Amino acid sequence: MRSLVPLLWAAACTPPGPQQTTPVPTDSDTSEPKILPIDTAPFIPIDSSADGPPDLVPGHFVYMSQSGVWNLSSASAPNTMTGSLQITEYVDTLDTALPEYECYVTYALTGEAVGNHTCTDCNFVFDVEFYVDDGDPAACHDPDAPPSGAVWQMGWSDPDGTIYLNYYGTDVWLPWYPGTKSAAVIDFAWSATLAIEVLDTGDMQ
Amino acid sequence: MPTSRSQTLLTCLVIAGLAAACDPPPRPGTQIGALRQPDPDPQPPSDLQQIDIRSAVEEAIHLGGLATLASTWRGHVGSVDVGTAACPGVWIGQLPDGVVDVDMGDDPGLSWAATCATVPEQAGGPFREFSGFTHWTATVTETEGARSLIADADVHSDAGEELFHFDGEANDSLTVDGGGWQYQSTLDGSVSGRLTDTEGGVRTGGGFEASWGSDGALTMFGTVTALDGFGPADQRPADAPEVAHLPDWAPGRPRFTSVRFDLTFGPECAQEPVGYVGLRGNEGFWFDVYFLPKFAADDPTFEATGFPYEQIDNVACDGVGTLFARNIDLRALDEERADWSREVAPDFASAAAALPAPALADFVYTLRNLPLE
Repeated sequence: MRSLVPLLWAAACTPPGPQQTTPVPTDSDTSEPKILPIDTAPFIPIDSSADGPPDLVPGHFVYMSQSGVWNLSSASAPNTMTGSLQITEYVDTLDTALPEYECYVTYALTGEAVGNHTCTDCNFVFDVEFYVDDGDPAACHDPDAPPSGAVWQMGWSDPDGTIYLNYYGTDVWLPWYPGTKSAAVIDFAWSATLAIEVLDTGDMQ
Repeated sequence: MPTSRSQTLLTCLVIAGLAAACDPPPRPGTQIGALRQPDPDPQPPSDLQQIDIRSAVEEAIHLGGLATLASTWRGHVGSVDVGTAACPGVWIGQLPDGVVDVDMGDDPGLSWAATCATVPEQAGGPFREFSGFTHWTATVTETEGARSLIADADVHSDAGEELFHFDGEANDSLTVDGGGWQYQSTLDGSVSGRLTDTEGGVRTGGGFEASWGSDGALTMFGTVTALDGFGPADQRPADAPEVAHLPDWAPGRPRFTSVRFDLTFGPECAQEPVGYVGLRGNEGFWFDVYFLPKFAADDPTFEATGFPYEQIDNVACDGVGTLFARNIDLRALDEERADWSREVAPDFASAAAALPAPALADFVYTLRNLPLE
């Protein structure tokens, strides 16, 4: 075996004869090089998941209600206003015998007439100050429950039967409360129902 | 006998191994599978000198201005507006655990999650189909607005038209100070639909950041893909070498698909930004226009050496950038052709001025805006 190795080496490295040549593919194309496109764009994953969750049927709802009254200093061009606002919120059902609200807040309102304002639909506009008589607005789900001491610019529109709010001073006047005006009194109310996820506190009822 | 068989086998293996070791190397230019040996130098695309790169850069900035939450938000609000109280039902706060796998943060915000169609009698018009979910927050003061939106949502008309699609997350903010304002947005995802302001739809690669303001400030960072492409119609013939092998390519398609930005206007130069704009052609080639250097030419860091600033002559604050195609230094081509230049001077002032000007009113979106009845 040992004597065979040199012979094998020599045989293996002998240049092959012409009839043994395996044709090597050559590039005979003289035209423009066929450039492979190199896309260096960042990889963008495709979301192959389903379009979304199945239609959710809410298990719980929060019922929001806000109502109040404006007592105007005069029916046509009031300079001042006093009034009240009540916000209540509860989830699913309310035991009328022993009501347990998620949020129950009562406010006393005072208003000073604003001459220079941007509400084109308003007959008159007040700077309305909200003073909390009872409850905690922070407990409300409505993110726009006014905190105590807040001063909001609000105006009344006779044609629309609506109290408008200059939302956080942005000069965007949103229809805030539908209402009815009778002489120098405006009654208003708004309500909404939204789905809500109730956290399981682990309490045993 | 076993010994003799082993010796024979070993001998054969040695012969085969030695024969393989002595194969001559392939000749240069040999095609081996998908590779050519040696790999030919990359060539610029055949229509390089016909492309209006200046206009393309300006159009790219316009595209970057569309890849924002402001454009997406308009579709989100518009699609909720065509819904009803029942479809899609709006949740206050977060969605139930396990419905969507995203961290919605501490702000309760509002959500919808549905696979439903509106009832025409309730919607006051033809039905709309909602599928997926959205979760959003919006806050505003006299001087600031901020929003966020996380969604994997699709809204279609009764005719199947896509009204709103957003898969991703985004946030933005607007600061107003006196007569001036500054807008900032980060968008990570894909957004399209007629109710959006995205002109055919956009997709970002990761979080695309954009900010601009009334003072002309402009910053864009990240990648944006126009789902319908952008730029001039492709004029190349179908046998152009760089497109001849692309089965989906056709003449007349928009010349570009995507943009990569690393662009900031600093206080040192109002005429020209620091960084670059990269335009991706529909064949996959990138056209990069480099402006003021972000790094020193001799900066040895890996991040800095990725930029070819050492090959750029013009580093003056003059609004003129230098074009590279497929990272090829086009200096020789520039010198050969008197009627063509690798230097590009986009009208940044006009492009920035044409970007949308958000208003605080756009950030006002409350329970009163929702179709709850």
